[in-house]
Amino acid sequence: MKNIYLPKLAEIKEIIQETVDTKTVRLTIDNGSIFFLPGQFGEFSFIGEGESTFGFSSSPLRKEYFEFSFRSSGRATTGINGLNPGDKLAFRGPYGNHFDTSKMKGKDLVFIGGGIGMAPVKSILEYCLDERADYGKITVLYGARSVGDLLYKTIFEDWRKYKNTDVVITVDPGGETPDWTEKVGFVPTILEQLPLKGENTIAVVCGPPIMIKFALKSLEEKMGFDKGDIITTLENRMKCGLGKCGRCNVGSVYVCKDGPVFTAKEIESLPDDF
Amino acid sequence: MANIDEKLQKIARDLLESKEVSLIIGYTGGSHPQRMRPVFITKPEDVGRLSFNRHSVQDLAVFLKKQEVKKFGRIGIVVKGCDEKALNVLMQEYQVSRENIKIIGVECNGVIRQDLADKGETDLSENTVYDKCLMCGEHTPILHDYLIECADPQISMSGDIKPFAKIEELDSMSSEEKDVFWEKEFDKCIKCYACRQACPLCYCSRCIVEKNVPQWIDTNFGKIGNAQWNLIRAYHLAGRCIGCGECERACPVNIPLMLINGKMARSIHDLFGYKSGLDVDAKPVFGVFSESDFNDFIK
Amino acid sequence: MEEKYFEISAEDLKKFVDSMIKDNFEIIAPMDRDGDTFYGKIGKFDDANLDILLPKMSYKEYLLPKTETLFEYSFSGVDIDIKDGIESVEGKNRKRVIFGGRPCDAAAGPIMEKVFNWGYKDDFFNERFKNLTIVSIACEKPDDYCFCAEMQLSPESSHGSDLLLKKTGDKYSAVVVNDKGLELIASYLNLFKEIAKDEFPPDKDWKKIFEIEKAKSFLDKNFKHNYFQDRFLSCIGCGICTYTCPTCHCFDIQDEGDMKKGKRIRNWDSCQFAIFTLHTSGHNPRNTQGDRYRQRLMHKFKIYSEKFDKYLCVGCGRCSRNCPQDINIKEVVKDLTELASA
Repeated sequence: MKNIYLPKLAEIKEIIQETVDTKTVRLTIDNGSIFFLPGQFGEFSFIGEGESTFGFSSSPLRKEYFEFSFRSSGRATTGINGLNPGDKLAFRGPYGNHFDTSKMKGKDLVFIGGGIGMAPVKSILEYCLDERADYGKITVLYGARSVGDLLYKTIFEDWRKYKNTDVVITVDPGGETPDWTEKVGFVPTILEQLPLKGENTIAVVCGPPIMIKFALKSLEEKMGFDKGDIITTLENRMKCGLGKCGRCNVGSVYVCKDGPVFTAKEIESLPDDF
Repeated sequence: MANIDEKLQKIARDLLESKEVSLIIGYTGGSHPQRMRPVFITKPEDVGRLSFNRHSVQDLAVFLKKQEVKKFGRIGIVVKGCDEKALNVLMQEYQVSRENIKIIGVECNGVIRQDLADKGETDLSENTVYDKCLMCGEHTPILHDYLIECADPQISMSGDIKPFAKIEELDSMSSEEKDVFWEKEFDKCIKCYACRQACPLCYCSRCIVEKNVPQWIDTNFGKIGNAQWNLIRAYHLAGRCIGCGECERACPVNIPLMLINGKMARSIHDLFGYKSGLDVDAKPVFGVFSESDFNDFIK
Repeated sequence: MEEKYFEISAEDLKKFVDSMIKDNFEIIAPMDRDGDTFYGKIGKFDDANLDILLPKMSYKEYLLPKTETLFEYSFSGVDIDIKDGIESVEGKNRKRVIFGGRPCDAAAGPIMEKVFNWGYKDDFFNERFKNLTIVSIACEKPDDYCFCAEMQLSPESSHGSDLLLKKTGDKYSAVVVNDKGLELIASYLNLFKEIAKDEFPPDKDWKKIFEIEKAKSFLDKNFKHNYFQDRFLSCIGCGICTYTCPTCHCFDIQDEGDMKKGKRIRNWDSCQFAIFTLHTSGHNPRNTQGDRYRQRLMHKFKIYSEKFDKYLCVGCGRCSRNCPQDINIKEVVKDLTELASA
């Protein structure tokens, strides 16, 4: 008999305060390692305060740790927020499907992230950067409401070091600081200004629903992307992550098991239940 | 009976045609002849579905807390005397405003218990109605814009049946005995929270059981979790419960919830001389204090 | 194994049950309580009410308890000790028999089993299910709320039962469906008389009033149909339909305890609650009760059937009987089939 709900313990190696209310937690698993793919997620918990669902935000090829980013808001995240390096976190996973890198190989890639939605994008982005030679031109477009709301600020420069890689960072109008030197404008607006075409290019889009909605519109209608070449993730509320507890149904899919990664084409066929 | 339905339908048609309301909440025939169910009428041509009889058990005031219903703005609602008391409390507590509501009062001499009706009971008597009907002091709704007289005769009371006799029985028990009694009753609880959902006065947008930073109420079905839930609900209804009995009727595991709520209502009356739902202009009993309040009631 | 057929007199059936109780079997049967009937542990055969059509609640809790401890934890400094809860279900139900349930309730087990073994195997469920023995009694008179025939079952279906009894006059005909059933009666074989297959009363022809496939075809194409919002305006979101349902299995996972020790539990939950899908951001994909009742219909008649074949409903009608606002699922599904043809 096996208990599929039993977590493993992971030790917190490092905590990065990304913004006022978001942190990135880097972990190593006690007595072992985990194998995951970009796009997959896990159930993380400070035991006693309940589990939360987060996508991995690190590249699985960087073996020294695995990480997730979270915003402190509910009971479980408040629990995790109180932890320090050296403390133990419980973890189950990885669960769900993943970005299909075999479809991305040899193609140009554009990664579009908004706010904390950049977390799963970062995982697949860094995975592709780690295997840089396998892919064509890489464009990263990351936006947040304000400079203070941007995650991963310290690693933008790392991404820029790679060959044939453009990194565009933007904040919503009014969210800039006096010394801000990057772009100002909403993600879909900036996206349309980029020299991108739908041919031979795969787009990965994650962020708040409103951003996804308009970014998809720009990609499909103005930039000629095929719906099958746009990949995004759904973020439904989950509990078990195992296709049992029943709360992440959208149409006939369980987001936790059939997803969370879907193409825009697949999403189009789903009812408006997310 | 037909007479009642015709009157109801005429009132509803007039209200909808004159656009005084955009929705009428009333009763219509249900799954079988001894069941009635709520119906929502928005078009004058549909008023023929409205009906009322001794099986109209639901307290329709419960729907006024639903966002989907609130959207209709001005609403006409069919109420019995007991149900109308819920409207009064909702108005006292600023949940419903008098201008937005047209009260179609129906005089009522009792409704037949659902469990008996489901077995075919059609006779209105002291043996077939809810305890609340035996104690009813508001056969005629206190507030109403329209009033439809009752078709049923008053129930004759033999004196053999004492409504809520169990409350007195419980009063005579020791604390330990009460503890045993309630533990056994709460043990049945399956935490479906149907009591809350069926209650016209449980309108919090986020119930205390759903607040988890911190977690106030245990979520489990054990002794502690069950007692916490049932007791906190009793407290939140103390001085507010109008005794419609919908929680007890809804409870799928038959916990005698009206014993708790009835007991609380009695204590409030004994201590403060206050009965919930009778006076729409009264201040809620736990919403006021006066210097002359005695302070030994909280011990 | 091949099905075996027996006969047992009403008197011997009583002996059968009472002997099992004497042999330390825990017999769960319909029992009268508080003016209704619920499944419960009987102390003797006569405690059971076998005349009732259906107990108010299903016996789902013997497969999926209302609260289940997934594990217990305790802290000592930064170290966390975890005690696996799976050990506590080892051998659970091994001497437990559901006696006198109906074919609809019995059919629910295999339906839930598919969910609990989809990809990941939930051994909390599996261990309980594997060990539970189910002795059902075929219905003679389904009521107006019943629609098991429409749900591809019948009042006489043996699907999910280990042993099915059919009352014929003052005796019962019994079909032993599998080894578990045979094992149960093995020690009491003297009470049973084996009969030939053709001596076993044949199933009656149960009429259907709608084709469930039609309801599915409506659900396939009409997610945004006004029907859902209008029809379920009368739904108060109490969740009784899901809690009394033999196949509804959605659950919640919660931690309970303090800084020193506690446990992670799973509790029954319901898609009828607004909080079920509420995101921390405040966004709720299912914002109205119409959305939520639609989800219940979708899950039962579309989602489940696309994933696992069949339907997540056995047609017991409990959700209708118990609904305080008299929402009748049989009428609703019939409406859907009519809308599909409209």
